Order: sequence, then C-alpha cells, then structure tokens
Amino acid sequence: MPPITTYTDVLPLRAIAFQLLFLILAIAIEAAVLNVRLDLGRKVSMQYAATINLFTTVLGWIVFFVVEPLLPEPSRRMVIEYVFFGIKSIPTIMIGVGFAIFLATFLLKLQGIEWLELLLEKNKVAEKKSDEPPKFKGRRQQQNPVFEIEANRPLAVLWANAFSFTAISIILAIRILVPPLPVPR
Amino acid sequence: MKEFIQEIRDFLTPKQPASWQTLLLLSLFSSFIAFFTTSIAQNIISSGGWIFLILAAWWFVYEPPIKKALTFPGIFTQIFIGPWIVAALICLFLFGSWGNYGQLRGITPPAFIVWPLLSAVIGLIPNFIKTNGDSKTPELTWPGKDKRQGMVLFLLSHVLVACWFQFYFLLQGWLSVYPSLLSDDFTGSSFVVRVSNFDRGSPLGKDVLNTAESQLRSRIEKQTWGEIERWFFENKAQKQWVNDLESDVNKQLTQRWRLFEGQLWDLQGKVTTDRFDTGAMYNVRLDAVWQGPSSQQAGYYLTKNCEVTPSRQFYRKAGATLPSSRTIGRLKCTEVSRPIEIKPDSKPVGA
Repeated sequence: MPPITTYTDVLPLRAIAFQLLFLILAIAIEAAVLNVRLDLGRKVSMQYAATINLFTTVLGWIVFFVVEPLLPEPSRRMVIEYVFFGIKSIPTIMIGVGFAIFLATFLLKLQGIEWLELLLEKNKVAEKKSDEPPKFKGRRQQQNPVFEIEANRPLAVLWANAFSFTAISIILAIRILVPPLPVPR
Repeated sequence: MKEFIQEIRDFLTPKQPASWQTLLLLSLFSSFIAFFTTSIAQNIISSGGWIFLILAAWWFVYEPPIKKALTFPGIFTQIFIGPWIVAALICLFLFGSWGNYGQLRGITPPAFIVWPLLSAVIGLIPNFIKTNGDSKTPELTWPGKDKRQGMVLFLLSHVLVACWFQFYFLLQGWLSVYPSLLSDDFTGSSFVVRVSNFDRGSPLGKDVLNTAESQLRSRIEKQTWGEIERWFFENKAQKQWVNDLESDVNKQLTQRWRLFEGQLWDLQGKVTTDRFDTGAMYNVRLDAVWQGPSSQQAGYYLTKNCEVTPSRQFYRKAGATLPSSRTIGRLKCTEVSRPIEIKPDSKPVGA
C-alpha cells in the first residue's frame, strides 16, 4: 500500500456511532445475563460486561488491521465496497465468518473474565470454595462439586454472548433490509 | 490594556520557585534563545523549550481549579481532558515536522494513533504514584485493587479511540489507492460520512477517455482519408484496435497516476458508420467501465462520442502557383459524460 498522501473529509463517524450503540447495547444485555446467571451483583456484572466487550472490540479491530493488508485484492475490494457503499449481497463466506467471530468472541470473553479476575486478585475466593473438602457438603453438591462452579460461568458467558449477538444481528438486519428514508438533498 | 497586561503578568508570575509558571517561563526563554541560534544548537534549545512547555502544561492541568474546569460529565464517568492536552503537546513535539519560525508543516498518522494511547498512560500515571508519609517524596507503587477495574476500562476505551483513528487512516489509504471512490455516493454506507459538500469531481475514467481521444486523434491525423477509411473498414468488426488503444492509454496513464486503479478501468469502443449517411462519416463511441467498488448495483461507466469527418486541407507545393489539396480525417468528440449506471437498457458497448 502506498503512503497516505491525502487527508479527505470522509470520516468514519457512522462506524463510531454504530460501534458505540452496539457496545452500549451489548454491555447492557450481557450485564443483565451475567447478573442473573452468576450472581455477581449489579455493579460488578456491569463492570465485567463493559470490560470484556471493550476487550473483544479492541482485539477485533487489531485483528482487522493485521488481516486487511494480507487480503487478496478482490477480497479487499469487497471489504472496501462494504465499508463505503453498504452491503449489496451476503456471500456465503460471510455467514461462516460471522459464526467464527461469534465463537472467537465467546472464548475471548471467557478468557477475558479470567484475566480480569487475575488482575483484580479476585479468584482466590473461588479457589477456596473448590478446595474445600467435599466431605462436609450435602449429598447433592457432592456429586459434582467442580462442575457446579466451573461449568456455569462458560454457560453464562455463552448465553450473554448469544443474546448480545442476536440483538446486534437484528439491528444489522433492519439496517440492511429496510430501505433508507429518502433524504432531501 | 494596562490592566490586561498586569493580569497576564500576575498569572505568569510564579507564586513559588517550584511551579508551572517557572517551567513556562523557562520554555519561553528557551524559544527566545533558540530564535537567535542556528541548526544544532537551535534544535537542542528548542527541544528543551518543548520539554519545559510539556512539563508546564502537565503541571498546569493538574492544578485543582484547572482540573475541575477541564473535567466534563461523561456517560459513565467524569472525563478529564488534561491528559489529552499534554499528550497532544508531546505528539506535536515528537511527530510534527516544523518549518521556519515555528510553522507546522505536517503531522504524520502515527501521531494520531499514539495520541490516545499516550493520554491513557498519562491519565493512569497518578495511580502508580503515592506519597511517602515520612519523607514527603513520591514513590512508585502498585495501584490498589479497588482502582484496577476502573483503570482497565480507562485504558481499553482509549485504545478503542486509537483504533478509530487508525481506521480513519486505513480509509485514507484506500481512497488514495482508488481515488475514483471519492466521486461516488456514500449515503448507503454504515461506516463513513462525507462532512462537507465539495464538488464530488469526476472519476478517473474521465482521464482514460480523454487520453484515448488524444491517442486516437494522433493516429487519425497522420493519415489521409483513404487510409482512415480502409483502417475503419478493416477494424470495424474487430476488437483488436480497442485493446491496442487501451494498452497505449494505460502506458501513458501509469506514468502519471502511479496507482493501482488503472487496471480497474476497462476501455470499450465501437465504430459505426453514420446512420444518416451524410458523406462518408464514422462514429466512434468510447466507454470507460468502472470495475471496482461502487454504490450502483452493477457499477457504472463513462462515455464519450466521437465523429470522424473528412476535411479538405490545402497546401502549397514548392514552386507551384496553385495550392494543392488533400482530404484528411478530423476527429470531433463530446465531453465525457457523467457516470451512467449500468442497467439492462443502458449498457456500455461491447458488454
């Protein structure tokens, strides 16, 4: 790519507006899901949701910036057309890419919470719980004590991710399918 | 006026030796001295001036009344723009290229990407410093556990802003590779808007067609009418002349453009004899078809219509009393059209 020689008045303001909208939406939805499923408390689940969503968004941008120069020219032209002129058709590969993004964000969010708790030095409490000898617990909990604590977090994050992705997809579908209002020029 | 100057003096007079005013005066003094020196000495002294200015600004924005004035209510948290100001100064110092008399020549894209990151770092620094109770000196510390969550969000949001700046520069890169995009319509985009209402200009297909015209003219005007008619007759049904013309045009334009866009313009041409049969005339239609990204469903093309007419030219042979004449061809072309959307009823020739 040649060096940038022009600064134009074409600004990515719509991208920023949509990004903020999607971020706020995703944080609100995921905070609600995490609060219900993980019993973290309102404030903490809000903070967790905000952190993991910002984290995945930033990583997503970085991946895009790394991958974009590696794209073959026709694919790059497709990306350019999508960015500048909106989507005209949805090629099948997009569905695969969308699913891959969903999986990747799920794993990253799960890992992100782990790292966040490491940073906040919070996971000591959780470790203590699982280190307790199963002797003194009731029969029900004894069956699978590790599973109880460990399994519901991935599930909660998966649900949270699924809900927020659904909401964003609905908005994107409205954006693509509903024709824009005629703007007087 | 006098009071005003007095006010500025009061504002700038240091209340105590260690204050931001001292640093600012040092900075002013450095730039004053740098004015009289040359080359290396000037560089060193003006760098010193910059560093003093940055430190003064840093100190200034953290003065309690100033900090209060620079803090704005955000959606989730208070936004203090002090670090942004300091980081902007640092980026100007590091990335700005300066002409004579402190004239700013240009700022490179990295400056904008470093700016939010640097302001995040500056904004986070106070969390890493605590005052030692005994000696009253600052010392390094790890931020408390209760502060870390806020710090993570602060850092990530600033990185996000840096990503937006980078995205802007990515767009500029694309636009400089495919300049014809600029003349298109961005209203359908979910990403970009055009903030001002300048004339959108023409796509570079205009240059393709104009170059093709001048190439065709130089070809025709070398020949007599008889040769031209034969050439048209032989090439009317074939595509070869269009391809030759296109490669000539590309050769001429790549020197001028130095861009990748040229290969996305497909030149099409068609020769028809004049339908009204007014003398032996030929019509040449040239189309430049844009094969890159566009806002139209099937793309667009530009067109140019030319007609070739015979024209009698008089000239005088050496020693002859009467002028001789010969018939040559003359090429007359219309202006390049506005972009035309490709539809079933409006297709470029040869498609």
